[in-house]
Amino acid sequence: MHKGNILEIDDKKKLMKKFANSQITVELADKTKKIPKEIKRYNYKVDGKNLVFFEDNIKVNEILKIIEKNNLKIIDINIESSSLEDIFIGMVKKNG
Amino acid sequence: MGNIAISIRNLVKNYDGTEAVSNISFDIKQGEFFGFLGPNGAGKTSTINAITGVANFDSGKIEVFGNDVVKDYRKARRFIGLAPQEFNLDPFLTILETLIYQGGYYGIPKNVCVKRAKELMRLFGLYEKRNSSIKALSGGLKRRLIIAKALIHKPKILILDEPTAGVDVELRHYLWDHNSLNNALYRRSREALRQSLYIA
Repeated sequence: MHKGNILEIDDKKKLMKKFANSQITVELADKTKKIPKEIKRYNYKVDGKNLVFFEDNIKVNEILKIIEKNNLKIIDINIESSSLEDIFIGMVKKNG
Repeated sequence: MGNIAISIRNLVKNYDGTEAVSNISFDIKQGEFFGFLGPNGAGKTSTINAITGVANFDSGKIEVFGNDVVKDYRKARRFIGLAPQEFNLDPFLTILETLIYQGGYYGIPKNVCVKRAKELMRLFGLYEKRNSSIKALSGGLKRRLIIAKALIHKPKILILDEPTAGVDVELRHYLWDHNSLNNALYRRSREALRQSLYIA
């Protein structure tokens, strides 16, 4: 609810599915000189040794397989998903 | 009305020309755990006040288990237990007295009130302090008592307005855990299984 109006009303799971964003950060042993072409179809950025993917429905297995296939060594993986609180804050900001 | 616990249609509430609630409509089903989120001033408490009869509203219709909150306010209010955002406790009463007096407002005999109060005090970790006056309680204990007070008449709907304000981490987790709260309520009463929880 915001400014006297209901912005969204739904089941928590459905809200999460509709509005949650996920981010997967893959830390590689070395800075990649060449990004595998299969990765380029994802929404991603290179941040130092990290490959950061921004996807709503991240297919972790798929990404890991591509990295492995290209002989890139993984040091760490971090997956972050928006919480209900993040969604709420985003929605309120969006609506002024 | 079937299994609808609270039905709100086109609710409008103004304060001095400012629209606090702008024509909102929604239903809360029986047995549902309903979270009502919004920043300060969004209109959450105004909506709760309209449901519980704490404040009048300008237009719209609210029904609680099919009872109009304006026309059938006595019936409608009996279904609801409200734990308000502000502490509404008499500082000179003890915990036990507070619960007994609250039950009295609903016409519950004293012996029944004492029995229910003991159950609720144990449930919310207040039993050891039952004879302490309210003014000697911490904010967290007051919050627990307010929730216990809301449950003394075995309402079918429990409304918690900002339930985690001023509570410790343990109680906060307990309150946000729907299952633990529902299980605790179920231990109290079989009726509680059908309870609707409404948290703002």
